[in-house]
Amino acid sequence: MASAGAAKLLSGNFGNVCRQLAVRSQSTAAATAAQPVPEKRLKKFSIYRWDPEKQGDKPHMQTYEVDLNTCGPMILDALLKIKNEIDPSLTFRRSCREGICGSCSMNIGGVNTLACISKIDTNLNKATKIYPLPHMYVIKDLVPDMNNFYEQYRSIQPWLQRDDGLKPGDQQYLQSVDDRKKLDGLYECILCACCSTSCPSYWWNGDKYLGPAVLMQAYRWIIDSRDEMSEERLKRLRDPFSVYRCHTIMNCTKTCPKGLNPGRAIAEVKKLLSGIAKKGEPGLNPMGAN
Amino acid sequence: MALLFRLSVRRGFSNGTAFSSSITPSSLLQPQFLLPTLSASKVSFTSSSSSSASSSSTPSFTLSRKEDFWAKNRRLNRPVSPHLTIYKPQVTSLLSLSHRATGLALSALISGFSIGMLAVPGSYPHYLELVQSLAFGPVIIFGAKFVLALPFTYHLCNGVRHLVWDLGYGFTLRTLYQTGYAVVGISLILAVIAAAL
Repeated sequence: MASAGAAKLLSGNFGNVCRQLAVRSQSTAAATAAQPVPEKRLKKFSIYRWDPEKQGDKPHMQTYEVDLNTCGPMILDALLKIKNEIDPSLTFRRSCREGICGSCSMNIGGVNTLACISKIDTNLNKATKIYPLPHMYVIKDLVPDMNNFYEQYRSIQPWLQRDDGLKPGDQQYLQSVDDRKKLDGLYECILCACCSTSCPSYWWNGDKYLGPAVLMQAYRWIIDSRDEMSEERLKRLRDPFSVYRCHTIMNCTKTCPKGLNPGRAIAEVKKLLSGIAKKGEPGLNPMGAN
Repeated sequence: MALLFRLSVRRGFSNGTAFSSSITPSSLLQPQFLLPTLSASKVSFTSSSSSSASSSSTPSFTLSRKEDFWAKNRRLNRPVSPHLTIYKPQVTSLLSLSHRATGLALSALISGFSIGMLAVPGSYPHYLELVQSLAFGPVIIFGAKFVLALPFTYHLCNGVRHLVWDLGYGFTLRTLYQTGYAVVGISLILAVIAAAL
């Protein structure tokens, strides 16, 4: 009875796994004996460099070679490897390494994205080009000055505003499930500025046009059912530049590393501004039923 | 920046401290330069209204408590990162670019043609006959008509796409690409039809 069970086990899946393990250990032993060092897979990275401390330094591209066999799979892994092992002067922003902080946004292979969630192209014949976010003042290497972007974000007053005279923490505001759903796809934005700096309109009018990322957040607060200042928020946007430099090019939606849709949000803002759409009453009284 | 009060810093005004002669871009980034109250012992600050008269001999510059973004970047001679030349051409941007290009071409063509017809001595039928008498082959005529028709049909189709967007439809990435390719296909077909007429 027991031996029949064991035979059945061995002939089944478990047996297959055991056999494969045995074969694999033999073959790897043979391989390491014959070929102790695996061939290097050298990948070229061509990276934008500019150093403000060097007198008369001009922006230029510098090429580094990284062995992909000893490097993690992501562009950020390669950048860190270059900084750690080849050139400690290479400068870039990074923090979370998992696509949630938005620090390592840069132009990789011609497209804005986050270095930490962008896989290295394993085609060894082609160099991967890495630039800072496009049309931004460069502080050093891959680090752009984001202050204008942040200032624009500040200008849309990204916080809940109500007329009820309550202080934060006084009362819990209610929101219906449907109203909460309207914020999905908006609140996830990490403000990495990939979309704004992919937008040609933002390149040419970055001083007066707010850009996709900021406008999507403007929309997020305009349509929040708990917020009472929608009209004032819209009023601040009502000029020829803040919103209307958007020509629906849609580079923003194409490039968003979080898969969000700033282009659609701007279209919704335009609808609200022109009056063909209205915000609507909250599905649930934020102050509770009374 | 209107709410930020501006302060004027005058170099060489502080009893010859080393500070006055060695102002480099990096030293401007140090905290004492951005927080005037901490460094009042080293550098004089006066309000910009009263500082203009006596500062002609010493180079002076204005520094707001939080310096204007554009002024600061220009002062530090920071380069602007490359943009149009390095961004990957995509269906999204190429269709937008061609929409604008065809729009410009069409208005230049139509207004140029209209004004031109007013300016030239002969009438339109006269020139039409002239072109016909030159007896270009049917291929060249078809090609010329196609080239003239395509900007119009493309601008028309993509214009409809823009109108649909303005109503808030067709914004998913999938739809964007589908409608993009559809616009190119339909405008090509329409241009062929127009050229064959």
